[in-house]
Amino acid sequence: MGDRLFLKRYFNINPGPVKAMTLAELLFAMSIVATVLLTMIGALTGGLEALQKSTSYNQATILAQTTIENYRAMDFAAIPVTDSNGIVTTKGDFIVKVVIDQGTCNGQTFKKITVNVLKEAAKGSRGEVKKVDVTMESFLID
Amino acid sequence: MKKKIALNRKSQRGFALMTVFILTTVLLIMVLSLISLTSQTLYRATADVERASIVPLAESAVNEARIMLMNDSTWGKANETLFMCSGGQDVTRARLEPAQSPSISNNNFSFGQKGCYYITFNKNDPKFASGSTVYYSVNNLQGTTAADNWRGAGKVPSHSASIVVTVAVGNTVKHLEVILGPSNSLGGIENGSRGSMNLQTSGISLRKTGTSQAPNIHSNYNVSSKASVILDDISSRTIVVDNPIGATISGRYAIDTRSNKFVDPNGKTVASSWLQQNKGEKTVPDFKLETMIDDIDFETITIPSGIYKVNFSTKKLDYWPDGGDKTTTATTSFSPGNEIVPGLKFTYETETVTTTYRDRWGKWQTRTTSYDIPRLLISKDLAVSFDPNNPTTPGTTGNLQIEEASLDFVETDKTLYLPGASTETPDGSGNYKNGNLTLTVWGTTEAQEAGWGQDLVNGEGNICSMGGMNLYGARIYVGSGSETKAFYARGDVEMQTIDQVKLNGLVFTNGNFTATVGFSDDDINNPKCAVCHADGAELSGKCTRGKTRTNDTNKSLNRTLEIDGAIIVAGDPNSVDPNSGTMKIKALDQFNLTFNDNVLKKMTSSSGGYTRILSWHEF
Repeated sequence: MGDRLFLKRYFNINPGPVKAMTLAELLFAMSIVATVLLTMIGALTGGLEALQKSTSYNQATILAQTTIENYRAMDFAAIPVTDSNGIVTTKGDFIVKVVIDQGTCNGQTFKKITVNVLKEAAKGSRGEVKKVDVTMESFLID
Repeated sequence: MKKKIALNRKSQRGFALMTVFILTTVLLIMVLSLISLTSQTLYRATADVERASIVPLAESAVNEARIMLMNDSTWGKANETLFMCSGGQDVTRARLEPAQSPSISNNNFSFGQKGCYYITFNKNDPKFASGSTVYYSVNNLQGTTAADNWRGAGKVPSHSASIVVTVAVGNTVKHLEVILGPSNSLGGIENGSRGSMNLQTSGISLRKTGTSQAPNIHSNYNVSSKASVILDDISSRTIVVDNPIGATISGRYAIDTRSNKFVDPNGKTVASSWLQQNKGEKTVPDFKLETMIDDIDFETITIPSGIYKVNFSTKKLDYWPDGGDKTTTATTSFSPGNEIVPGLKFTYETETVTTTYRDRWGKWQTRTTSYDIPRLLISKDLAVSFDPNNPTTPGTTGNLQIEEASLDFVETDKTLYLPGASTETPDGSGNYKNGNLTLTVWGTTEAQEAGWGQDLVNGEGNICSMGGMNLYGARIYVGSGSETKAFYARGDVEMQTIDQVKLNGLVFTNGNFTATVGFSDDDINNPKCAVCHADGAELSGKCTRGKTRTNDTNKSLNRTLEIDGAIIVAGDPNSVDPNSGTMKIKALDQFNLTFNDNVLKKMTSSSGGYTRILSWHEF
């Protein structure tokens, strides 16, 4: 009603006789709006979770790369050989596990570096968000 | 009068619905965009993981190729391939035919993650899918001119190898091309020993030349309960360490410093970081002498093996074939000026030498004396006579025993080679039957009494022996030149001098290395021991070599072991003895090492293998 008074007072517009929307029209419009909004919210949260996951993947990849680079930069003899439990460190939400094996190939000693970066599953808006698990392997020689 | 504007009622109808539709459309577009964006981001993140994983995989492939080249410098010449596939990787992503050979992995490295790599030296390799480019590698390490590769003609420089790796992880495919060149680095021990290291001296000086890294001297001695390295002084409990370049001495396990104090030349205590304990095992380089000397054209006339001894009475060089009795008349006698063989000449000269000494009142005095100096002049690449079919026949054993005549290389880069059977294994004491050199030059009795001796070896030449090497006398100056090797001995190297030992180039032995510098042979005048010396037999009892240190008041002596190059006491790679390849250095004044990685070049290229990455290109 306020709109109608506003139009009449300031613009001298007679909007004509008022004919209200039918309940069916209203319900139909509201249902569309509700559907769209719900979809939108769902897509937004899903998208954000996916973005978060891809960010985690990128972080895990960088962590794995950095770890391998650190070992590559070391003196070969100084690279420690580990057991299968490896060296486990925590960086933020990530668990970095490094397993280093030593072997020989044609009499030449090599060291195999396996870096596993893991981010455990977290609770998302629609249940558990899948964990992030990135593994990289590299063979270094002296 | 205000004019009333009547709105069309028809236009009012469905306005709200239209708005809803428009809004819905806009929101749908936004939602679709968001879904597209997030899915793309997730896809890109996954691809990033694959791309990031591809680099270490490609590097592993290159390292495996380098190992193959280390083992065999001709690897790749026979169209070899290296194929790895793990984790169910689809090789067709890399445009490789799964059915074509090699259809299963033929590499040495084992991977747990999904991925594959392929290296081929076959320019027509059917493993690459029909119609696609064959990315093949080329080994031109031994080539003297540029070679062709998949890029075109002459794209692989001489003395290099182009290794092209096709790598795939998931859906991501990458090609990597590296150019490898011979490396000056051995990748393992560049100075040091397989067995224990015992260094006893008053001072240590460590330097480097050219582009060499600060040297590391390492002992691989594999007994954890014992020290890998023992550093000891001569008498003062203080060792002067002149190490401005950050060189290090390291041990597989502990380093025993015997409670000595290490000070720099200014008397300040040296930080302990130059001594590195528990550094683990390092690769010990091994290579064959044959490959080292294969480019040397030795004279066809070889030196008869046996005993060569100077007779100071007759001023001649007497010769007996192996096992000859030196108390009997020599088989042959060479007069001064005679050639034993072309390129080996005997001379007997008198030289006036001025020495400085401290008299009984403690004042420095100079003394000028004339001494007899017999020499064997080497002017060509010479080998000692060796008959592999009759290795014990006198005259063809490859052994050389020289007494009282110094070896003088009068031409640079000449090599004296003492051959032996390459298949022979050392006896329990590490000795070989053939290819041994024993050189003893203590000089005349007058010279000994005056504390002066002539050079044992001199000149810019090289000595390579398939057996051991024993050098006893005044001083040694040897090595240098473009061939960059000083000593190679398959057996033990033992040297004892009263004065300086200077070795320019690479010192490499598959036996033990023992150097005693600055100690006179106290029993040299003992007739019984003199016989021992002459026979080169092991001394025992009173005949202890290197027992008496030379006189500190003899100013002219420089009792230093100096190596300008590198020293590798590789020991026997097949020995189960953890102490095979021990290094014992006892230098009264100094042990000086000036590391020059250039001397390793010959070894790395001759063993074929050690390479370095010159360029790295991903595409």
